[in-house]
Amino acid sequence: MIDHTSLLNNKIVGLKPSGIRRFFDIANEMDDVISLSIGEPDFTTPWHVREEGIRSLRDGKTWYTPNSGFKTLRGEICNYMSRRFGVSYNSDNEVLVTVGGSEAIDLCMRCLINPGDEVLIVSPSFVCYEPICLMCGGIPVTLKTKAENNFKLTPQALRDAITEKTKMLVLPYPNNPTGAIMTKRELEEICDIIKEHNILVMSDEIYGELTYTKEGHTCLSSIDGMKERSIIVSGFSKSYAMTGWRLGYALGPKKIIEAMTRLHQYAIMSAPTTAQYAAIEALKNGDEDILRMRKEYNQRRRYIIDSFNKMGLDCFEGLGAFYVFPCIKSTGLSSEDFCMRLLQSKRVAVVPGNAFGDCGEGFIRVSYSYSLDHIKEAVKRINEFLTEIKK
Amino acid sequence: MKELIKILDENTNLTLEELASLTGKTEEQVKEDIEKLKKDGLICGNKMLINWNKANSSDVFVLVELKVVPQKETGFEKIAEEILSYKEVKNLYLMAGAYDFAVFVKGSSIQEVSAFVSNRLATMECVTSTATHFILTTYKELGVKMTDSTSSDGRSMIL
Repeated sequence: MIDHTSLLNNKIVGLKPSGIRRFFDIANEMDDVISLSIGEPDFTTPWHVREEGIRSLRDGKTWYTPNSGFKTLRGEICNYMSRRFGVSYNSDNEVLVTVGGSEAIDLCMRCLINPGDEVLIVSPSFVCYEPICLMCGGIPVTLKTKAENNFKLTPQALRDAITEKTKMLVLPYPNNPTGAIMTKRELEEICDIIKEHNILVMSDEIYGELTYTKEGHTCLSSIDGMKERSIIVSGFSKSYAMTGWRLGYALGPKKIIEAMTRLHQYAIMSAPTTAQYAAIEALKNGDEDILRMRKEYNQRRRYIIDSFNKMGLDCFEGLGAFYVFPCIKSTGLSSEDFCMRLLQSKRVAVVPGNAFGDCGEGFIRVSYSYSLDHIKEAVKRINEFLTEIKK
Repeated sequence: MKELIKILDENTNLTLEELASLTGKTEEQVKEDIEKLKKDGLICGNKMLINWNKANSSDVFVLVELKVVPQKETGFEKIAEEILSYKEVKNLYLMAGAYDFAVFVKGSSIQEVSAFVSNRLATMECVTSTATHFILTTYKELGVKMTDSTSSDGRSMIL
């Protein structure tokens, strides 16, 4: 018998599987579970966007596209970035269309990280940054954020973490799982430090359109002097409810995008053709869809934050994405115990905060990407659970 | 105010407390807004939406297309007022196109509805013609699906 494990790449052997899988395997086996755990929009892709995808299939447009994506799509991405965030990119060589924002993250990290490079990763955050960094031989350095700072990255925390070996900062705002955002002013303070060093920032702005403030989202590269230091990764999944289409993009300096395109060309060839046709329509005529969905998320956001605070679980006001991150320390339970007992007793599934990094311990991630009736029922059950464990 | 109207258009069963959370206003503000909406006639009813397909009822629902001669000075208004005063008339619309009024009529049997159309509507002096269509199945009403198509949550990605 061949020992396949011994043949695996050493680094992949060292990667831990996600701990919460086990928890959700249990949840999936149970009946009548009401979930607030899902990390994708509950809306379906707007019909006019789906229709363009269908039309392209009907017309037999089933071939590869150019490696970096259709020229029209790249052009529309640049128009959109300029229209919505006031940043200007050259569609010929500063943008790459990828398989979801995830591929853009993977390419960006693989093209920049050399073994021994330190990568500063804001935590808690989406789960992929650290494993990719490790696969590249990089050294992940966790920048812990705290509830008392509204889970924002502080200039001090950044300054303290930078060493000679620092290659990159991963800046994931609006944040999954906390719902935290960084305002323009707060970003400027971070950027002042970045500009003193030879560091690049990979800004994961996939939730950028889901920012519930008057100021709205600030794209990192719109800040003075930051365009040459930023790689913006984003996509269509969250803003246009297009998760299953798997389409994202990266914007950045020409040399870096060129390198990423080279890797993309060998690994992927080109992003899905049907999705690219649909995305062109989304960018051309989808601004209204974004507004409509954002409005609805915002109502639910206000409702759910209010509900948690009323039931006595401190919930800071997350102003982005579609998650809230209430603190459950007052119950005396760990995040995992809280979630497991809530699931077993009231059949409500939420995600333990520590799934997103150690500093998420003491919190739970609650998604409001559900209908209001669904959220109301879950909130009612969580409230009953709290009364039950107080006894 | 626009936001509140939209929320109320979709849900009538929300408490003041819930409406306040959803809109980011205080309960008092929401209460005042609702009073004003009622006073201004923007909120003009509060009904549950019933799926009659499931009610096992023998009620008959028809759409009557009415052509009329508009009246001097009062135009269509006076005619509309007369039609809407019948309890059998559930919805009434003034139309542009091939006919003037779309009248949705409900009755407990075909005979009752036929009698209503021929004795009440068709005999009105201003009515020049009627065409009656029977409604077989309601699939969607006021934006709500009335079919049993399962809409299970197909999402699976947690993180």
